[in-house]
Amino acid sequence: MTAVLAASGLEVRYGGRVALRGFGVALEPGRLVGMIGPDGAGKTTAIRTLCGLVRPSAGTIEIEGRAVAHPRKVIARLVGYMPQRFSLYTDLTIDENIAFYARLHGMRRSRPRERDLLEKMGLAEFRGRLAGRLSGGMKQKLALLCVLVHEPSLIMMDEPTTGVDPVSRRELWRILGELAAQSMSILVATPYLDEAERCHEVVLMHEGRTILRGEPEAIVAGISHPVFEIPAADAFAAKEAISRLGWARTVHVFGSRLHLTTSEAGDTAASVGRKLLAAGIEADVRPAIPSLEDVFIEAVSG
Amino acid sequence: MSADPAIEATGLTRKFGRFVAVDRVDIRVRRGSIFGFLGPNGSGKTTAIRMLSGLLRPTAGSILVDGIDVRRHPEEAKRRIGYMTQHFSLYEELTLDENLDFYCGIYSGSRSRRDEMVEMLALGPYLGRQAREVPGGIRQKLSLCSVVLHDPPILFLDEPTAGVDPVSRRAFWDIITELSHRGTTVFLTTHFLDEAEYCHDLGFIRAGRVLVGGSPSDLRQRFADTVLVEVQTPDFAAAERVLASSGAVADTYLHGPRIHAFARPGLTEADVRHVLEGAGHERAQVRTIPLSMEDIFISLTASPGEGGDGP
Repeated sequence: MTAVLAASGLEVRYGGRVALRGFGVALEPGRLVGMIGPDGAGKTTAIRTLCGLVRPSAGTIEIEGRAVAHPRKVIARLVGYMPQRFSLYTDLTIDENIAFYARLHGMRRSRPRERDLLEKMGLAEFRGRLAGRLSGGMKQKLALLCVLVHEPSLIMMDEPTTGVDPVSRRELWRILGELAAQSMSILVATPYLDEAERCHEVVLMHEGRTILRGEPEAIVAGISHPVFEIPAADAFAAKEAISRLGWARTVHVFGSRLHLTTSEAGDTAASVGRKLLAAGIEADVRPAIPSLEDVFIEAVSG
Repeated sequence: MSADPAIEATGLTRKFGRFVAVDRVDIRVRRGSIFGFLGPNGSGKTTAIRMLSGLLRPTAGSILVDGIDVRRHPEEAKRRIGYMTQHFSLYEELTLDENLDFYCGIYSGSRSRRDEMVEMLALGPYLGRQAREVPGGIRQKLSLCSVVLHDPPILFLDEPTAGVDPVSRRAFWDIITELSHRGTTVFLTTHFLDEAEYCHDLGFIRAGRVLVGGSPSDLRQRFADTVLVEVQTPDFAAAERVLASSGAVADTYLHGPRIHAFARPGLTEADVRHVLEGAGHERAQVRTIPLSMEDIFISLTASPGEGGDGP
């Protein structure tokens, strides 16, 4: 499938600092791509570069299979960009905001399409309400609607779920799923590792670099040190005891459970249990499902 | 653990004009435990923490911290409290060492305590560097170190992990766990739901009200009989409609391109698969998955058909 937008080897420098290096992504119709990383990982820089707002010092951007030297104009038509703080006019109604964004993109208003979008966002019954009087979750949905008004084939969203109520967050991911089902290509930046499983593909970022890229299941399956879980009432004491044995690679307390990795590749829950027993520690060792956080930490710590 | 709670707030309320930021909140935190106060931005977390730590007067309600009435004796309460604000003030031009000198002076911390904390937080190698030069994770540890120099029995941390990378976040939780193990009571706020697992007890706040409370295992236990099934299929939108209108499923939601379906009581993954196969979705991958904290919070807080924060 031809990507709506594909980038490879993107590098961005701000003065002497490299904000983004070796960044690549392929945004295809119907695919949800998550760009996941903490503050300063380069997510916003990557999105702004893909939108043509920041010029990379190296790398290429292809649109529908063709390299584009000055992508900004083409991209404006093709892409809906939702920055972290999207500007809505708080003293205009939902309807008036939509009309404004339609005109901004030189679009003739299409009532049936607007009605579709309003219904998809669950905003139809509030269209006469001032944007300033909407809840946070509704403002977010109105912003997304305004981004969709000019019928882009790709949307890029910068941290739309940061600090958002769980119910609104779930609703947003439902809408993104539905848009993907209608062939929209979607890129979402987020600091939440647990949102990876809502994507077809993820790009894990750290300090401007791409640490891992691929389907979330494949990334987790690729972990080289299996994670074991041990329930323990006094998990901290158990951690200290196990750490002293010297063969644990990492031991981490999760409330009343321990997560343990070892340096020996062939270890199983049974072999770890035997080793602990030999050291006088009786423990119920089970294989744990590694989280994307486990994978991220392994990749960064080497 | 003594029965007398480290923090006890009753009917805690704060109004700003007509806006009720915190509304009749009750909080009990056991000594030496980690209490996680979870909620979205603007839900009242910071207002609550400012009242509990004596920085903001409640409109109504009582607060006991380490047995001290915070409203009557705020200064005495403050000596027993370490409070790391969301944007903690460090002196950027000063070295880490000088920053710690400064906070040691203000809080009259002892040299031995300071050395002990520097070692526990592994700050030794950075002491000679300016605060502005060190990575975010180290700054975060320096902030934490600054507020524990006077060895407070109770620690308030406001979004200590916001914006922090996963490696530093995990290291930070190691430290919090250790502080708790050594007897410090930790009250912290976060909007990362996955951090709930680290806490002994949780409160979930939305629009100023605490909606759900309990230990993570208690909350999970309430859903012990709930079967959550994940379905992956290329035609997920159609498959979800099939499931939603079938008798096998109580509720569904789209998790991006995946379907999450709650089986009706007594039914399992096999029943869900059967429905899908009957409707021509033979290629669907179906598996049972554990409920996430998000599932639990949403199930406990949202009545059917109700949006998160309403209109």
